Amino acid sequence: MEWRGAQLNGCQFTHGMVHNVMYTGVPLKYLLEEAGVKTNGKWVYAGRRRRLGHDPLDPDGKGAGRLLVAFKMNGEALRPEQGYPLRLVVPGWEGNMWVKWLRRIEVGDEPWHHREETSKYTDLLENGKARRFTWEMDAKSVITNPSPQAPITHGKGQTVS
Amino acid sequence: MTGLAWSGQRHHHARGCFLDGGKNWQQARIDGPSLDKALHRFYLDFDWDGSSCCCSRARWTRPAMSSRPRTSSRRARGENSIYHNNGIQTWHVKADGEVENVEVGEAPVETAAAAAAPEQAPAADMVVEKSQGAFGLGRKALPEEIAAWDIDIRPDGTGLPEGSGTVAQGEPIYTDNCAVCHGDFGEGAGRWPVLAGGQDTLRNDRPEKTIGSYWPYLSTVFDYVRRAMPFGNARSLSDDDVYALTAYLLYLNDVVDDEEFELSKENFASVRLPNEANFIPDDRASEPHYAESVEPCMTECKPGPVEITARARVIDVTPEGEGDENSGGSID
Repeated sequence: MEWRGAQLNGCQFTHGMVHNVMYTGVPLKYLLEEAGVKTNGKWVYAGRRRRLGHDPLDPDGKGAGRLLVAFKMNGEALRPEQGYPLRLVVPGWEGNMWVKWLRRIEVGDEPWHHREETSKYTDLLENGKARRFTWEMDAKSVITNPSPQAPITHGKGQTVS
Repeated sequence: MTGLAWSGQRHHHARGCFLDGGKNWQQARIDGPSLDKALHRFYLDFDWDGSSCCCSRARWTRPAMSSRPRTSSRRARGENSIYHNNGIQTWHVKADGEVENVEVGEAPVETAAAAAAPEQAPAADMVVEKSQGAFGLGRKALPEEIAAWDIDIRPDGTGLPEGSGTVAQGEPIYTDNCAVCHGDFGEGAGRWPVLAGGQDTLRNDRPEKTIGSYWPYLSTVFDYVRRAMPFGNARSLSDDDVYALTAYLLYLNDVVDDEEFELSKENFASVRLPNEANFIPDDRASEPHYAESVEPCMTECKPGPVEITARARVIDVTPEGEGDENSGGSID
């Protein structure tokens, strides 16, 4: 949302919404195996309104093997706004895919091309082409302290964080 | 609600919390295994209706270790035996949400027999098949259950329900259910999404991404409208209504120009949207910055003095907290 320059005055907004917490859950892989997923399954649909895609049993860990169906954040049960009772945790990929209030999981052989991967979350380029399935995060960093919400209040001198 | 429960003995189970001053107990959910001498977090889901209520902490199954009403403790130990209070702790939640520590009248004593609640048995005519997985978790979903959940649709038409609807049928449905936010002609009201127009704007500084100008597949329209629209009243439209609305949106976007055009399960996949060919795979790695893979500059990386060229405060669109609508962008 800062693509056009400095707009939002806080480290929460500069690179998209940022969070850094510890999740506890069950690897999605085990749930899919338990349910008897078919070997031609390549795309995972996670219902609420959205879907996401990748190889659900990809052994190299890039696919759903690293996905977590989480029920806790920082040791406490998820709160409603965090996706209670279950949410997906999709390390390294767009927050859009970390589906909250998870209600169903479907596996298919072709992508669904639903709203959050076509109308939204596709990247329109200057030449009118649009990249899709751009899930992976680029390398990013942001300083949280000091930051607009964490100013230095003690005057000049060493800062310790 | 959530709380902590513990004792110095072993093998305990959180028995419950109560919402009405201790008359009726509800089973709390204990978090994780029951371990010796460990504190256990417990949870109970409840809808607070805003009226005052009392909530109490957990008790234990083993009768000897149950929390008990404080009146009972005092009878047994007198008023000065203060170090081992295992009284039931009650909070009074007031109408304004304020919580106060209170004591209530004695609650009935639980019995071991009451602890065993029978599991809810499935209806007699349901054929329940156990999971074949390694952990034997759960059961196979019934066909009816899958049918109720499985509403997603793919570009090739997979998942479409039976039905049909025409542009002319879609117009009044659109006017009644959609126009209030999306505008009479799909132009968007206020900051709500624009649905039509915007052709030839994708190379502009401010492109207008609509169904006709941007969306690659018609199935996305049908799927999204059917599952999520109208906003606040999702799943209220019939499948024929959604076919008619989708046909009307094609008409608003000049993809079809005949008001009698009928969209149906049969002809759905043959309708293509104009921008489909302009979607490409993720090729970020081919951008020069990544492809050249050079070490980042560390010293004297720009000529002249450093100047600030933009300030977020000048634009002043930073959300200040929960529910702040001052986010600057349109509504997704």
